[in-house]
Amino acid sequence: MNATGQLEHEVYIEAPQPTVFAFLTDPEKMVKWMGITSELDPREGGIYRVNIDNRHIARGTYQEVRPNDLIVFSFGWEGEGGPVPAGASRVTITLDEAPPGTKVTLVHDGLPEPAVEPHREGWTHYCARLCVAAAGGDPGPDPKRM
Amino acid sequence: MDAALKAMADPTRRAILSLILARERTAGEIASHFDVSRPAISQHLRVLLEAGLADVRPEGTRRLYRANASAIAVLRQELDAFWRTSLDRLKAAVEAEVRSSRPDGIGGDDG
Repeated sequence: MNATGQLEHEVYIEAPQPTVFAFLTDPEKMVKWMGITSELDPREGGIYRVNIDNRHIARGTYQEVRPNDLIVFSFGWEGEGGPVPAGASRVTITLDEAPPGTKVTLVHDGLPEPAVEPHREGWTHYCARLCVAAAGGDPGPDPKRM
Repeated sequence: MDAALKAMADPTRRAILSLILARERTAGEIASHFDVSRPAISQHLRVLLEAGLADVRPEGTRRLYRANASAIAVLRQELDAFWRTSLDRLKAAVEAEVRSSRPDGIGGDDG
């Protein structure tokens, strides 16, 4: 386990790599699974900006793009004060051929990793909110901020 | 949550959190690890405190800062759930398109 921690997920998709890649890099296809609007410039140095739910806007820079194969980008949330600076938090999405489909591996690293279990109530609260956001819904105002 | 996400978006603040995760430090100690001004560090610490990601306690004339490990863990779990949900949705969207363009299911591009 590295010092800053990482998240890792894997999913098998019954579709060839180019089809999956298109859903990751074509703005019109991306909004079928993530965000309300997205602006993507999927090439090294290009910027992306994905409006997740009008409250959360993900933004970062592509660091490496290999068609049908690999996408690496810095990841941050756009703040009130303007664009997020290029950060250490990084997402790597790898597409591996796994006939008849594709294995998708996502690694998010550069995150601080506390060695403490989260408070269950807080976790449930926040998970419920972001799961709704990820599904394209509006979780509404966060009662914990009031 | 939004305040915490925004607080975490800044790389200097993430580095500060890592620094004060293991043990408490004063603002001066923290500043000595960075190339930015002391007021800038104070501002970052204020943001972290307001977002609930760090705590501060007085000890004599000093103020000691420490990362709130459980708040960071919550944020981490939240991101984890975000990616898991997103990948499930990606799978559903891609497979729906494949099904609609190829009613016989996956049989190869030349089939």
